[in-house]
Amino acid sequence: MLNGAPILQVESLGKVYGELRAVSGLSFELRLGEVLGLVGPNGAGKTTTLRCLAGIIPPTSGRIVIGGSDLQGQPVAAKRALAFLPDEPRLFDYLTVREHLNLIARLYEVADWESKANALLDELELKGKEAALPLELSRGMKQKLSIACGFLHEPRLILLDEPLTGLDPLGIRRMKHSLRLRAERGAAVVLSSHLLPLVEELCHRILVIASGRIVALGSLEEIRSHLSGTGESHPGAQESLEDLFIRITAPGEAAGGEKP
Amino acid sequence: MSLPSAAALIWGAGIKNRIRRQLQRMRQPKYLLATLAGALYFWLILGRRVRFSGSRVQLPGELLNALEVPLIVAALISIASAWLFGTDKAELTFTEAEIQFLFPAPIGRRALLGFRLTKSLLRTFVSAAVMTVFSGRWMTGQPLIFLIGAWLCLATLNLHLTGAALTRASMLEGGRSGVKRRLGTLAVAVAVAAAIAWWAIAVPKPQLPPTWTLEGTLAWVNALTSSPPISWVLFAVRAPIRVALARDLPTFASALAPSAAILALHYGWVLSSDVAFEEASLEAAERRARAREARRSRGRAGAVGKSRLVPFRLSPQGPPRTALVWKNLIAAMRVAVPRMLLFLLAMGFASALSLMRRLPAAPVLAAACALLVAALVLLGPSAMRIDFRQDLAQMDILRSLPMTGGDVVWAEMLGPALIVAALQWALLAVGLIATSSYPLAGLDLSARIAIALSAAMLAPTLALANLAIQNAGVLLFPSWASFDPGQARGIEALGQRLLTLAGTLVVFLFALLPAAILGTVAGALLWRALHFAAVPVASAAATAVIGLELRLAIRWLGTVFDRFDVTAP
Repeated sequence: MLNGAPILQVESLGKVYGELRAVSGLSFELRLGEVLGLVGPNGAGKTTTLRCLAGIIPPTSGRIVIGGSDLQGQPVAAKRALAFLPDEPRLFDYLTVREHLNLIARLYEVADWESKANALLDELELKGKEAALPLELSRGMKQKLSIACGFLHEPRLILLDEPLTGLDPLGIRRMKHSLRLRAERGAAVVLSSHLLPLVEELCHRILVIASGRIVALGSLEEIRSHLSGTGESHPGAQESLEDLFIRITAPGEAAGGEKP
Repeated sequence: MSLPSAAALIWGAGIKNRIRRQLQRMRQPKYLLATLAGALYFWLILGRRVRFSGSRVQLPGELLNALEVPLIVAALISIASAWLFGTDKAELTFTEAEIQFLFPAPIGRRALLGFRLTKSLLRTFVSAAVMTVFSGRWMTGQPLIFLIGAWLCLATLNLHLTGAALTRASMLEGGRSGVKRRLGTLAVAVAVAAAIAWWAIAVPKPQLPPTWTLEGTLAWVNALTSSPPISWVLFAVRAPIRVALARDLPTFASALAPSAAILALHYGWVLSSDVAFEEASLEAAERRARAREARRSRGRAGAVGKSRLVPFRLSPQGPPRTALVWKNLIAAMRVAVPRMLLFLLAMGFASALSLMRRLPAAPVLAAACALLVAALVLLGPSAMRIDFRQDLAQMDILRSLPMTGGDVVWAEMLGPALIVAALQWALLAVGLIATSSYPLAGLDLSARIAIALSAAMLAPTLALANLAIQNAGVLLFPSWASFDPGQARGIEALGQRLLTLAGTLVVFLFALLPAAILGTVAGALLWRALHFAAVPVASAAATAVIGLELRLAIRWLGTVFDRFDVTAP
């Protein structure tokens, strides 16, 4: 269900740490209901990009607009529309599961938060853990709580950094279902992951970055046909995202792999 | 690669990289300044103590001789505790990285044990060096000799405790067969027990001192422990202590050989152990890592209590900043308040005790309350770290919230400020009520109320100003407050703390200056007309000035927060 004006507009995003150019000239858009996969090798700038999109770190250059609000100029309005789920759940040790959700409810002014929280606790199998502190939860449960906090205010833009880390197979399946469901209900999702089959399965479009720059952007089909047009892909072959990823980001490796 | 060369690589590269990293950090002025401040302090306080030549300050010979006995007793208590109450697990301290890389490596377990023992010997040398810095010079006047002796003492004791743990684990692991394997150890224990029994029954003891003075008692104990067979039993404990306490080269030389032999025997004894230490060491390393991680994620606030009380019900509607205040008040109830109350009680108790001898109870109580109100201005914000200092690890979450920077800064500080203010107001009320019916010369009840009212305005505002300064430190120098590994250690960390303390005091006093001037002027002008009623007016003026400064500071800190880079080093 892709519709309307873009919920996320990124124009020439750049981030520099000292002498390191982590992200450079990143431009793309995302519409409601769309799931964008953000992939790239280690150190490509994925987490930096997500942190810039979430307003956690200020970009060195460029512009980010979320739901019509400039993240730099109107940060409060822009942030109200988004949820950021880091790879490592960052929880407050002294708040219980339910208190975390209560906190989020107030911060984002979620009406009828308790019924929504109960539904999320059910969905993420945290029922019965409402009074537990994070220290009493397993790594996977902490991740689920972080996800529940992210989903409670029904964000229009969800930014996820390796969301399946620490989840068991059933948790992974439910998480995929949750993301699909939220996209169908109209949320836009940016999903950064090294799990390429997951990205292939869930994402409408894929943004491949390397050394902080865009090296491919489009649906899997579009990337395939683009590579075939440039002679870099095998004509007629239905290459997986993994094959394409390696072909794009490490051409030498792909060529090496084909040698007898 | 053999294990000795691997160990040399691990330790050598570790030291080299630590120095390199420190030098890299020092390219940034803030780290350079902290390192220089720490080094200067270290030199001023400790460095000058370490001189291997110059004047020979030392304790009198009799006192040094007398020291031998308590040191022997301390060592014996450690040894007895290890044998009687020590762990039954063969836990040896390996880092997680050492476990990951060395345990699966093609290295014999004896070599692995040797690696661990060598590491212990190096560590005990560092401890001995620290002891020498603190006490080596004034104790014997021979720092080098003391260093070698202290190392022999610590290393032998450390090896003995390790050997005891391995032996206990071996006995438990092997049951009777373990006992068989440890027949040698058991034989020594039996021989020691038999010697002591024989001494108790058959051997004449030195005559008891006529009076139990300290010198007489020590001399008697010395004579007792120097006569056979006790002297034989204690020989292994006493030998390294004699090296450390040697005052000249001949004494040192005569004591060195037996001490070194005892150390070598211990090394061989521990190395000969065939108990499985891998699993217990792995468990211990994981336990330490979990504890470290918990400490890091909790920051400096302390352990989370079991209370599930909340300060008030948080409705989903209303200003979002209330949510952060609510969160921090919960943290205060579960993490900080008990410690704060303990601190308050201790302070109050100490101050009341010191005053009670001279004054009746009511003014003593009032004075203790006043003292605590003042102490809370300076120490309350240091103890109540339920703000950015607690939430530094969650800074990325705070940065992603739909709130302005100024709102986040204000909300983060308000929680601890409210608690400190509530404590101060409660103390003022107690002090006022306690002295309400007590006559104080020159201070009638209305004057006391005026003073209490002034303090009720001024003290919480001053505490808030202090909180603002401490939080500004976190926002401006996050790496100085961070718990991440790889952050400042040693001399640099010491320098950071000194600079933070000095900076806080300077900024605090500087911020107070305009308020103090205005308050004094207002008070002086109104005193003639209003007398004590002028005090709250002057305080209100001073509070207003500090409030204005705070408003400006919070607005500025809000922009600092908005620019805060969670990834910056």
